[in-house]
Amino acid sequence: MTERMDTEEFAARVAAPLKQEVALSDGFDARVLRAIDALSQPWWRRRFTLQVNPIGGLALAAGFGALMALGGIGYARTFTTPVPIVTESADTVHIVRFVLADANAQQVALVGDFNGWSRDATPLVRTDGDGQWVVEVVLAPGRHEYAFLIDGTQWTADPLATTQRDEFGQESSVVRVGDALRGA
Amino acid sequence: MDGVSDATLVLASRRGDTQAFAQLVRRYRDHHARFATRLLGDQDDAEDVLQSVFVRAFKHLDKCDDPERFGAWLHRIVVNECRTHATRRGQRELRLVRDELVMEGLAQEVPDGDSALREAIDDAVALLPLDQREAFLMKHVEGLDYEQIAELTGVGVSALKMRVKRALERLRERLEGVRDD
Repeated sequence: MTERMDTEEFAARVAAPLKQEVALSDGFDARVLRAIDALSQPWWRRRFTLQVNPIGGLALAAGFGALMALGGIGYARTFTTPVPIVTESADTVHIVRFVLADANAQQVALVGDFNGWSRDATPLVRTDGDGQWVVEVVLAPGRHEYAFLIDGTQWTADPLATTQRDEFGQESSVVRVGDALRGA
Repeated sequence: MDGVSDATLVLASRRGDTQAFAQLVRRYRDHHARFATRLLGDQDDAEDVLQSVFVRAFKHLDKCDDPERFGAWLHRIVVNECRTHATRRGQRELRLVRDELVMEGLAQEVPDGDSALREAIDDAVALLPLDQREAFLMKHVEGLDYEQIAELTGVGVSALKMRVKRALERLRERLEGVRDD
């Protein structure tokens, strides 16, 4: 394509396809705005997250289980499919298991207020054979909003959890952690 | 809020009005998405960078000295974040891309069709050094003049002209023989 073209003509020819608009993925605005919302919270209200993979989560749970046996620290496991929370104390560590069934997905990420709506921070791991994607995350007590991001672009509310539509028209899910402790 | 000036939205955002900032995001995201995607060669990377850009902009709105020129201020953040990301991603990936292209024989004529031409252009642009790619995209894709590019990048006009010239020379070498039907 370089023959007989002067420099300006060549530059225009190369640039033409690159001028095509790029469509951002669904949920980009919501992720940015939620990250900013989180930033706007005073530091004592910001949530922090300890991310764990399923194996790490089990190890962590086992560790806390041992501590509980020794010194009275409790842990609770919450599933995004509502499951009664075990008896808890102020020292309870909440490990929340997020599950999504999607046999066609190539990758799934968990985005939520607890990870700054980052799509890289908390990938789910595919379990063998059954098309299920799983991750376990330690969450602070309280109400958390989240969604799944499938293949980096498809924003999906959790079909197993309570959903809500935000001011941007985006549907996301809600998980309440440690309600018994908070009286909610 | 569509008709509201950038300055008004910036001042409202500084007071914590996230809806005002949402309007700024909607106003500028698509334009910068194209530049970031072309520069980084990957839309996922571009979205991550843009998210970081807007969060950083919100965090440092008090440093936007002239709210009327929020767009130019934001553009500088985009350029800096893209450079940082591209540099962090490092030369290793670039070498991998280069090796793959050599294996595939980029110099050979690619198959007919718009998609093949488009792919060849994308590959050729991706192989440009970062500074040349940035200058070429700003000049010929974003349509900025050299003074605007100089303001955004902090690089002198003469150096920018040289970068664009070299970029075009390299592109011409790499696209030689590619069919343009």
